[in-house]
This record gives sequence, structure tokens and C-alpha cells, in this order.
Amino acid sequence: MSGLQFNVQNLFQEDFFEVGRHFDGLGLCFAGIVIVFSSLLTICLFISVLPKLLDQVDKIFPPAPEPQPSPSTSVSGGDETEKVAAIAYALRQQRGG
Amino acid sequence: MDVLKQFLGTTAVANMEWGNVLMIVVGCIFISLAIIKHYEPLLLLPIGFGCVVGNIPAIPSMLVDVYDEGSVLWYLYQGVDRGIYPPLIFLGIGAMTDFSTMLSNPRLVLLGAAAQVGIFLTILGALCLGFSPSEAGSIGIIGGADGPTAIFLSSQLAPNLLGPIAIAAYSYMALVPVIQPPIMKLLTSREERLIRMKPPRVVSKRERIIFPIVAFMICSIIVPGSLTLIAMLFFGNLLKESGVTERLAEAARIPLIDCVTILLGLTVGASTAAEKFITTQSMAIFGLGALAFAISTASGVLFAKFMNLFLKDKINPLLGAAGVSAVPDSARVVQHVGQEEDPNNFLLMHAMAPNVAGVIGSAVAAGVLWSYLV
Repeated sequence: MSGLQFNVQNLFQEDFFEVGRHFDGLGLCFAGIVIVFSSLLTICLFISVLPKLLDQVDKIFPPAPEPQPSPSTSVSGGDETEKVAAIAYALRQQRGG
Repeated sequence: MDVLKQFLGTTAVANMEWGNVLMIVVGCIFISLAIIKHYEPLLLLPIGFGCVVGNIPAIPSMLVDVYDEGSVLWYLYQGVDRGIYPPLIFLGIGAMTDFSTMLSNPRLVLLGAAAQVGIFLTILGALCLGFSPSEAGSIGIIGGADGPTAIFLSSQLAPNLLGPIAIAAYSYMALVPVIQPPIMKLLTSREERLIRMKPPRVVSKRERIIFPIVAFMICSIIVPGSLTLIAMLFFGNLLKESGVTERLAEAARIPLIDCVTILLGLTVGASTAAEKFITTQSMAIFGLGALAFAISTASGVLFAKFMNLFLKDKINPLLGAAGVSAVPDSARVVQHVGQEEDPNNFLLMHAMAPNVAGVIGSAVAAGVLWSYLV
């Protein structure tokens, strides 16, 4: 596209900054930076509003309450705790005695 | 005796040239850096060994190296040559990445955009040196400090420069702890380096699930050229965050990415045969790559300082250097440089925000260049 060949001598030409004239390098550079910033700025804005958006959604559709543990589970848990406590007490008595 | 002479003529020693010896030494240096200095060992060790493999001269009639169509290494190299490995690596990166810190502090996303400036400025330099626009685009992307992205773009735009670009990109990724700190210190004052960041807020699971879907749509709608890389990145992240595909996320972030890294590193290294690699063009690519990387680091830091002109809660400008997408090395460098001034200042978590934003930014930049230059 540029009609040029890679050459280190290009560095030492008087019109160094004109070498790439055949291709709109500055245009690509500027457009590229603008597009990358636009994309990430859009993501940034989206992230900023997301928590507020979710709060609004929660107001319209309230989240379901978390299920409470059933009484039978707690009784069973209590039994287990009591057994462990009893075993620990017995062991302590045995070692102490 | 003739048979023995004939056999000796086919050995690597007989066909070895000084360039091959030089590249074997370079390969050994990479291996040493990986083992002794722990510089990106997962990449430098396979690449270094690949350099040694690729510079053992083969018998011309035998199909051995990556450029011999039909050889085993040629088949493995097709994953690089056709841009298959980089999206798979992005899948793994997505499954490993936690976007929480970025979600909790959205303004840091902009630092990930600012650090891509080096890509585009380097393209101008490459054009001035007489590289074609496609080649210049592939060289510029080195400034993103993202090896897979650099390989993906150069496989599409300038396959003839794939070897030097891949080696330059991965070398500079490995040299992040060496290249970045002087630039960061030069551009910031002690007071700026001492700035402490506010602790990030807790991010809900719903936010983490919605983010990859919407961010993918935003990026791919604005820059469809980035679709391949961005889709894999955010798909991997959705596997992780959804909580219902933990097995798939685990497969993507460990076995898959490890296998691809091995194949990619070895074959990229093996593509550095001296007769194709040691050229003035390669040296120019290394020079321009270093320039791109330095500009990207500087632009990230300077943009953070620019943002501070308008912000009430100041950003530590060191975080700008993490906008290049060498994850997590540049974030670690920020932490290290910050702690040199104040050992109780923990910047790592905050630096991960621009760091992962940089991954998105460099993929978007690659998409822009691909769309425009193809």
C-alpha cells in the first residue's frame, strides 16, 4: 500500500516524517486511540451504573428470601453437638482421673 | 570411508552457520533467565528450547523444521500460523481472571485504554521506517505487551514477521520488571507514589455474571474485528463466574492453557531459524517493540496524572503502568515500586483493575488494526 520498502536509511532522510505519507498513518493512529477509548469508556460507564441498575431491578422483582434451616436439622445438629460434648467430657474425666 | 564422510556431511555440525550458533546461545539465555531469574518461565523456557530446536540444521531432503510442510513441527506450528492458539489462551485467561477490582473501581478502566497509545504511535514509527501498513500494525501491537494478541494479529496481517514479533512480544513481557520501573519513577514524584487507594467495595455475584456478557457485546459491536479474542476472553470468564460450569472453567484455566502454552512457546521458538530471523528487519522490530512498550507504560502513567487533575480521590499514578496487559507482571511491578516508597501501601489489588482492562484494550486495538489493515 505504501509503495515503500523497509530501510533503516529512512531514519536519516530529511523528510523522515513524510516517508509514511502514502498511507494515512496519523488518521489510523487517531482513529485507533479514539475507538479503544470509546470501547473502554462505554464499559466504564456500564460498570458504574450496573449496581444502581440492579437495585432498581430488585425493587421491581424483589429477590426471594433465603430458605431458613428446618427445625429438624437444628435438633439433629444439637444432638451431634451434645454427643461431641459428652465424649469430650468423658475423655477429660478419664485423663484427669 | 566414503560412507562415513557422507554421514559426517549430513550432521548438524557440518551445516551449522554462525547465525545458528548465535540463536542457540540466545535460546540458552532464555532458558537460563527462566530457570535462574524466574522471568516468565512458563513462556521463556518453551521458547528458549524451541530456539535451540529450530536452529539445529536439518538435512535439506528431510521434513524436520517448522517451515517444512508436512513435518510434525509444521503441523504444530499451524496453530500459530493460522491464529488458533491465541484465542484458546484468551479462553484460559478469561477463566482465570477476576474482574472484581475493576468492577469496584470503574475509572481505572480508562488506564487500560491509555496504555494502548504506544501501539498506535509505534505504527507511525514503523511506517516511517518503510514497513508496510500491515507490518506496521503487527509491530505496533507489541506495545500492548500481550503475546497472544501480537501473534494473532501478525498471523492475520504479516505472517512473514510472525517469528520476530512473537519473540519480541514475549521477551518484553518477560522483561516487564526491568523496563517499567525506571519509566514509572521518572514520570512520578515521591508524593504521587505514596498515594493510597481506597479499599474496593464488595462486588455482587450478579454483577460478575452480567459483566462478561454485556462487555462482550459492547466490544464486539463497536469493533467486530476483536470478536474472536474478546469472545473467548469473556466466555472463559462467564464459565468461571456462572458457578455452574466449574469443571469447564477448571479445564480452560489449567490443562487447556498449559497445553496451548507448551505448543505455542515451542513452535514460536522453533520458528526462529537464523536464516529467517537474523535480519535488519528483526532488529528494527525489536527496537520498535521496546519503543512501543515504553510509550505504553508512559502513557498509562501520564494519563493517571491527567485524571488526578479532575478527581477528588486521587489515583496513584503508578497504577497507569499496569494498563499494559502483561498480566499479572505489570501489576506486581506497580506493587513493588509502590512499596519501595511505603512498605505498607498495597497497590497490587488496585493494579489488577487497569491490568485486566489492558487485556480488553489490547484485544480491541488488535480488532481495530485488523479491520482497518486487512
